[in-house]
Amino acid sequence: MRRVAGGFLLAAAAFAQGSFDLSGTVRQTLADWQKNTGIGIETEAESRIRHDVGEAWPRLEELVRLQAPYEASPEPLTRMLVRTYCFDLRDALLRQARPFARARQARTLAFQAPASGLRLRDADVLHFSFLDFLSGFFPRLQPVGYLQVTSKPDRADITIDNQPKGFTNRVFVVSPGSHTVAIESPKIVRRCRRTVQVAPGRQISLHCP
Amino acid sequence: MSARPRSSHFYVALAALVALLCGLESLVGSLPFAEQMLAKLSDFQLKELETYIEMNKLLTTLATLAIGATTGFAVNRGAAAPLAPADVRKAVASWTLSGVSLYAGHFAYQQVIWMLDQRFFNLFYPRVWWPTQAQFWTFLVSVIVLADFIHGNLTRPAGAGSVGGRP
Repeated sequence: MRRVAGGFLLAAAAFAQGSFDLSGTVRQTLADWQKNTGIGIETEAESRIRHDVGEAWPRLEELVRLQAPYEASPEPLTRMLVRTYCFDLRDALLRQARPFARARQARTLAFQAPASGLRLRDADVLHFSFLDFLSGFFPRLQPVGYLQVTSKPDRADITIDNQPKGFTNRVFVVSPGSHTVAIESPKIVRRCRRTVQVAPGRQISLHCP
Repeated sequence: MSARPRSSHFYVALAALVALLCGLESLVGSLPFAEQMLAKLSDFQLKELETYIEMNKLLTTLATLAIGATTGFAVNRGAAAPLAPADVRKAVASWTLSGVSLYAGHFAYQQVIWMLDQRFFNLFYPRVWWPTQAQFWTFLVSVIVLADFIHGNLTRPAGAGSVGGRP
């Protein structure tokens, strides 16, 4: 009897889903995003950013609701910004390294376009399930990042994380996270060395003039 | 009375082993890497891949045979007289190590598939190298333990040293 009850409990835990309040994370991400892009976004003070239990996840394109008040709305640009915001949000969550919290994509983003910048009204960003929790233990299931290394003139030595990786120009598949890249050549005046943060599914380009 | 605790111990040990393997997989899978993206594999790389897969298959087959041999020998000897605790430990160790070898081989194989899917190729990169090493070394130790198990049983008269064995 105990075993049966334990089995039921385990099955219930496996299919349990929860919701998390990510307001703080979103605010921080928006601050970072604004700092990096120079585009102002204001969050509404009272908005709580949640994802409720058991809701389905349609595609991002279907979910982005733009509320631009003028006809010639720069929708593609805004969409691009929203997409960037979503990626940044996901990266911020991944950086937190919380085993229970892994964002997939923004569910709903509604924007107004005031005179200065965009205004974020609401965002539901996180879905949690036990399967997500389990997949966190298997990093190979997570997407990789890409690093494009170029120089002028080319055929300069590339070193990534203190390991020689051939010559420029090349594209590398890299694990998400921090990598130190150095580009050296007698033909290049100064030695290029930079530490980059590669996010999952994104490409970073490095060029050494 | 004694069967229940033994059974529960077995499942506790099994859960611990699964947790350990998952932890190791997570650890290996989180090792950082940076590899060149490829459009297609060169002839050398194809040959390298072929050789690797061949060795992977061979070790998998041998580990499966080792599990069969351990089980067969233990059942055969156990039918004549109960195995001594030391022999049981050896059989379990050999069986477990062979199982771990199979797991490591499967993990390494999955990593190679994943690597090709991500369009890069380096069989010496850490996420393939360590599972491959684990596959080989756990198999080797398993065979040594199995040899000791078999040798110890064959050189000992039947029943001698067995718990509750016939004189």
